[in-house]
Amino acid sequence: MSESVTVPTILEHSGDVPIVEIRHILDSGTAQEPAEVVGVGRIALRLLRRGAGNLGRRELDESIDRIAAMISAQASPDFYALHIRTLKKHLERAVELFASILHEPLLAADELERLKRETLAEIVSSRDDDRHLASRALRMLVFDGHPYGQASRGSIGTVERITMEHVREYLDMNLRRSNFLVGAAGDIEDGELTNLLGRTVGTLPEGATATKRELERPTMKPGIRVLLVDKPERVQTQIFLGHLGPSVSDVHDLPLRVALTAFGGTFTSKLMQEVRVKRGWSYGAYANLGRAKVPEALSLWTFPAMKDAAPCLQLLLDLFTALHEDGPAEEEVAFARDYLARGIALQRDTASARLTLKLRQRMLGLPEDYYENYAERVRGVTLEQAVTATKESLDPKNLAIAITCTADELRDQVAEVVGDDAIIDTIPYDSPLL
Amino acid sequence: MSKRVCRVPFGRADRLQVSQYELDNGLTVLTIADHVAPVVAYQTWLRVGSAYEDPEKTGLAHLFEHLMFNESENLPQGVFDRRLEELGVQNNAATWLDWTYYHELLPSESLVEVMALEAERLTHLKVQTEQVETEREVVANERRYRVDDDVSGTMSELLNKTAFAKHPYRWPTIGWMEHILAFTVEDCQKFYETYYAPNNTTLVIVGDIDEGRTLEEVEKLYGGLKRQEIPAPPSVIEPEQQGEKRETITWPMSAARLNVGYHAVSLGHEDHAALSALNEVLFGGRSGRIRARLVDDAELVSDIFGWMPPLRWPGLYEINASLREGVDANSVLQLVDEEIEKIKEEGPTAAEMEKGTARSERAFWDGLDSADGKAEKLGFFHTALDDFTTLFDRVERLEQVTTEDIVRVAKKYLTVDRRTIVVAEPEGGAQ
Repeated sequence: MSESVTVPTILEHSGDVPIVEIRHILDSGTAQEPAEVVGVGRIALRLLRRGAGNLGRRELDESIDRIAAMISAQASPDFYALHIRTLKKHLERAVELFASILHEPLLAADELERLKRETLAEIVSSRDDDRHLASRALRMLVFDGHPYGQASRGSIGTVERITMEHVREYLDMNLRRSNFLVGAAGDIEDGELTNLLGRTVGTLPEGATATKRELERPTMKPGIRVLLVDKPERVQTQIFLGHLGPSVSDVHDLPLRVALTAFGGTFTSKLMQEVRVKRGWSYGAYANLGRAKVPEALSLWTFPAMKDAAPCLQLLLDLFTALHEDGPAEEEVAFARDYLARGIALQRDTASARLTLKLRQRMLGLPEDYYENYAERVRGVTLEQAVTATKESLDPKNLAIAITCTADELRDQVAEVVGDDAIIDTIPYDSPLL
Repeated sequence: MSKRVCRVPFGRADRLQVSQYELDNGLTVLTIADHVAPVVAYQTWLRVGSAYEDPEKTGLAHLFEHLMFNESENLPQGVFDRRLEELGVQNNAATWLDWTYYHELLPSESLVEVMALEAERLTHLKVQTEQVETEREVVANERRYRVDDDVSGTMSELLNKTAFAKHPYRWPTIGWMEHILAFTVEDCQKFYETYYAPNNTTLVIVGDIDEGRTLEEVEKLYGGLKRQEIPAPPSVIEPEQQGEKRETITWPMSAARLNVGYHAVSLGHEDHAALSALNEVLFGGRSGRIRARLVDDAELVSDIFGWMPPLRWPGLYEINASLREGVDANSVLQLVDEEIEKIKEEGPTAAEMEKGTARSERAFWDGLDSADGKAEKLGFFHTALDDFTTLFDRVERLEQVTTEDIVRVAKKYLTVDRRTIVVAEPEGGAQ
């Protein structure tokens, strides 16, 4: 690690292929954005790429493409990122262009309006993806007004409200040297990285002016709440169910990951066997636990035909309840430990993959040796810990359920499954809220 | 016994070597020993995909791929996957028009056992009624997911069905629903015996291996397999299209979509590289001519891309666009046509040629970063073109494409008579 340009860096060198990637991580994400202009960070960072120095948008695009570089921005609830990926022989030029983007963006008003229209079109286009619709609906229920429930690219309403003033304010507060963590992987040496950073984020103004809001802990409404995303003529459904899970620092996090791996993390896990192999109801059935410093969503996902949706939902609820009450069996825990402990090697097979783990480790505040010693950590999880984690962390009586379907055809069947006390709402697939 | 067919330098500064071996029974083995990480990519490529199917039994190659994860003579139901997972292995499979492949990424300590598991299902799979019935339902659900409820899948299927009059590329890899639901044990058994033969298979083993010991293990596990008579590959020649074809569907969505397919060439054809280079000029990066004009300037589409698929027989050069709300497909098509005509008249600029070369080079290296990336490239090229070294020829060919080549292929292939258009409109008309 180098601190010479006062930007913390992580380097994973590999000379196997002449490719370099540099990831600039900003320690702030969409969850920090004002509710009325969610998506402003993503828009602001993408606007940097729409003209800089003496290059307009078109010229900048051509300059980047000519050297086959990629310079892109990403947004998530906790972090923003600016990425460079380039051939080694074009690294100098790629960095030169990136420096210009960072230090002298044009921030043209017409480009902002164009970018907003482009983002709105992306939001409209995403309605064609039934899985995305159900997933969005689940987050809305689980996070219930909390910033973690917002879509990272914003909604139609919030994007329309974004002005150049918002963009400038965002960039001024966030493009500060001390806000960045930089990771590099591939054909680049430590000294080289230090030198390059001296021309990019290393020369940004020092000091953080962005005051991170202390986010409240998300809470879910009690009971079972169902949101049907209504889309005509569906022959298949997309079903998500879940609730808040533990944060990565919670004592139950790793034991629960072991339990959920056995339950729905592999092809032979219980969920897949019951839904796909025994009944042929869906191509897949999975359990997932998000990773964040605050409680993230713990969810199940499957996608049966409309005709099988109600019994499949009943099965998910039964299995989830049984996992909560009984916990995983001893052999299931042993299996999941093996799978995770041995499989970690596959997540560290390239410099880029190793960098991903190290950045994740740092961003989530995990111990410095978390992934280095991941196999030992997983092997240390006991049956008792896994059972306790499922008992403490799963809550079948307080669940969010989101289903993309043709609502009129499924509502009554779902009502029968979830019972009279559940609240069932419907939202059209093209609602601006999604 | 195996014999070494060739040994070819590979990777940056020829740091690695690809070795090709052939067993007496015709099994091809490609290996790269690379010790940068304690992992191995183990892939089994079969020269059979949906293009090899009976038109009345479409989807069999894909359904059979599902069956391969079931019971075999020495492994009860569920044990194959369970044991792989216990070993920390990531495994899956894929089927397309020309090929099927099974892939594992594994900790190198697990290699010998993984090889035994793979060899077992290739040699001793039990094709049984219960599994066939279950997988039929699973695949039917997969079809609903990927096609029937997905506008992109539906349009792609319609494009190929309309564009191809005779060639097997006219049916989808997943198969027609009525065929999926009608497959029998006998259909599946016959398919297994016919195509899952050593002389139709390429093993690709890349990563932290001892090449000599690995080859000994291959001989031990696969050497007893008998060579089979493989049916001749499909010989249907698609008749030349005589005029534009067009289909329109409606869909519950907010904005229209457009797919265009031009009858073009196979991966092995000399014009494939020029068409790929043309695609870079039109759609590569953010500055591709059509992309920049339609997304950024005219703001008619939210996304648009083109691609020249790498197929064994002549495929379609495709353009796919997601339109913005209220935009009519004809207005998009008109601008696409204008840009294509410009290329035909003026050709690409020097900067565009430079961009194409650089992007091809990056794409080549991007695919070789990991063990499974290397294995996939080798397996694909050896299966699609019968010779893995065509992977390297491909890079050379792309570098040798001239502006004249690009103009020539644009004029030859991107013509109205050769194209098929599929439009999906929002129900109730453009909003």
